[in-house]
Amino acid sequence: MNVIGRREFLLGATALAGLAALAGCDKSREDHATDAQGDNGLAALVLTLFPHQGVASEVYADVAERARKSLEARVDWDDLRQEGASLLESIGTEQWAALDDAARAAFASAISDTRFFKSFYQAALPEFYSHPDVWRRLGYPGESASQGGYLHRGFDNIDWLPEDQP
Amino acid sequence: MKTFEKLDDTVVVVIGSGAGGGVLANELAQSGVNVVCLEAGRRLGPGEIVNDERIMDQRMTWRDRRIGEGQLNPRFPAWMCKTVGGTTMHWTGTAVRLQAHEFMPKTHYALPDTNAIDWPLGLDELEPYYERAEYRMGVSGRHDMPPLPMNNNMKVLAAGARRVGYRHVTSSGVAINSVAFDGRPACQQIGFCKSGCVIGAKWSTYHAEIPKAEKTGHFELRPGSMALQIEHDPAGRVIGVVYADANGAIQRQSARLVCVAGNAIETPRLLLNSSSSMFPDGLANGAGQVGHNYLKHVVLGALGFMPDEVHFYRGAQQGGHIADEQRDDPSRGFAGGYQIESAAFSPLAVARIAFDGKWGPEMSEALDQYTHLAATFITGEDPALYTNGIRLHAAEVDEYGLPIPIVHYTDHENAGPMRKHAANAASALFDALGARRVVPFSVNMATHNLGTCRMSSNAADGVCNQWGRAHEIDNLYISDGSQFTSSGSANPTLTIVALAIRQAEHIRSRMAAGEV
Repeated sequence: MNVIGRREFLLGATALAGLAALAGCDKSREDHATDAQGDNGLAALVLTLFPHQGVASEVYADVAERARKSLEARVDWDDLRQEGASLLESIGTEQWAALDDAARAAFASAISDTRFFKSFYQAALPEFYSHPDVWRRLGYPGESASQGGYLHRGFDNIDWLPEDQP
Repeated sequence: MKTFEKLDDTVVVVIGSGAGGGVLANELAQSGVNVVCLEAGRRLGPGEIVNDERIMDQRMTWRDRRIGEGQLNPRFPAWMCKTVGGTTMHWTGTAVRLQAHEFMPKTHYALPDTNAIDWPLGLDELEPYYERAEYRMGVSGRHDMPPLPMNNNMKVLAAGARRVGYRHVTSSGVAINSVAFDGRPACQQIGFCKSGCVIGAKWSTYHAEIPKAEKTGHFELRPGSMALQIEHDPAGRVIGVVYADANGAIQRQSARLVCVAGNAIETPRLLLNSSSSMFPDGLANGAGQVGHNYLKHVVLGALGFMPDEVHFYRGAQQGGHIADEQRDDPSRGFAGGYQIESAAFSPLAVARIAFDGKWGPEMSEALDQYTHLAATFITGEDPALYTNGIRLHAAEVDEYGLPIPIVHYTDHENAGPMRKHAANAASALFDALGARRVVPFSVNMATHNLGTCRMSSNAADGVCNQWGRAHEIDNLYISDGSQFTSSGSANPTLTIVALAIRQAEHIRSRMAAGEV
């Protein structure tokens, strides 16, 4: 525990609750749609999938929520929820609450062949790597047409290549 | 805007508005032939082409239900566009001619276990049309169009290529304006070429052909019109096309001649779905070749993790290529050649394509290097196999009650050694510049879909003749990449355009002679 931050701990501690929400352990969709704890829990899963330094926890939460919403729109949503529920039974609440980065990754690895994991991964990946804050962190500016492209902003400014000619 | 009566049987009906259909329709209209163009997709408004990959993917991609088999994605077997302009909206502009030997895959490669035949025409016959196509499209380095200025990624490729001894490195052969031309501006190095080109510097039928056709008074575009069936008379000549209009209502357009350019899945599907008592296996399918010999190029990507910044997203997504490996040299362990192209990807595309299925530090540490990435995309010869193709589903139908397509594709054994060679070539190129890491990655698909209604000298071997005219039906033409007899190594669009210009000339001469 000593090497992970408070944020990671909190995310890890609530991740199981997030899985519970996703798996339909909550009483109603309305309840869990506003369940911040559930979204924070899923955020921990997103953090496990795409662990970038310097990306704020709000971004992980935002991506988790978007991914969950896109999964809810699927026709096999109920199946996914049930699979999530059975995964929960297999690991147990108390163990999950104590997970650190490495343990969370180990858990993710253990469930990585499940449809639940793959579906969540496929839903979260485009949301995460299309997120403006993630782009900023990676150094990708996104749209450029409004600034006239890169014609006068460095499209050919590379300066470290060897000068040797053919 | 000119409109034509649905019972007007003097019009040519062109199905599709992409590289084949859009150019053919404009060519015919320019010479006074009346054309009705049925396009399944809608026409994007001026503000609807934006620098947003995901939005444009939603607006342009053909997402009607299809089933993939073999090595294809079961739910999304092939990538093409459903919009006015077709897949020219998405193409990246690489406009390279086929080489002479690539018209003769059977003679030249002699690969076992293929259904390869030679094209019924050669490079010498197509060369004048390549010239015209290159001029028309503003291909860089041809005629008066200067080479595209090299962007950072292309400079990396060029420097690496020099170090490994490649000699044919160029930013010519790209249909993106390096200077203003044909009413379209010079490239502003925006990136997002695959998302439609906001300013129209990249040639597309949306920007460069359809508006001109509309000015002739001989052309009517009907967006949102999905062709369902081609009708024929008792003599076996086609007489009209049944289609669903933008409101879903079933319509019928009479026709003097029908040209099918719906891309390599919908073109054969339409012929198969047009079966009748006279043509029980579908139109033009007497040889049993409609829907077979599907080609999609052997493709591969490679990322170089370079020692310093590249910012490969700046500028044209494919701003040039290396041609040294396009030769046919069996000593490399495979037949045919491949082209090494500059390529750039958004963070999402890097994550989704190059690191598909990866997560944790394996993913994040790679993406953290985004500004240092350089990339290449490789397209290689794809031998024709009879078993690769499109067939109709036995039970499942679309919203119009027509069978959905099943697409099957499995590599020929030639692909393995070619990919391996290409991966090594890309690695050597990046390593020569001190790359910290090179990651070759398999790409499930380019947007190169070809071969499913191929040309042949012998009617028993194919679907259409060297003009794209169906062997069996005198006034039915194949006008898109479906007519390719082989894939060659180059991106197909330039060849599709050259063939369309040539086909238009042929159709005009037949009309003048009173044959159709």
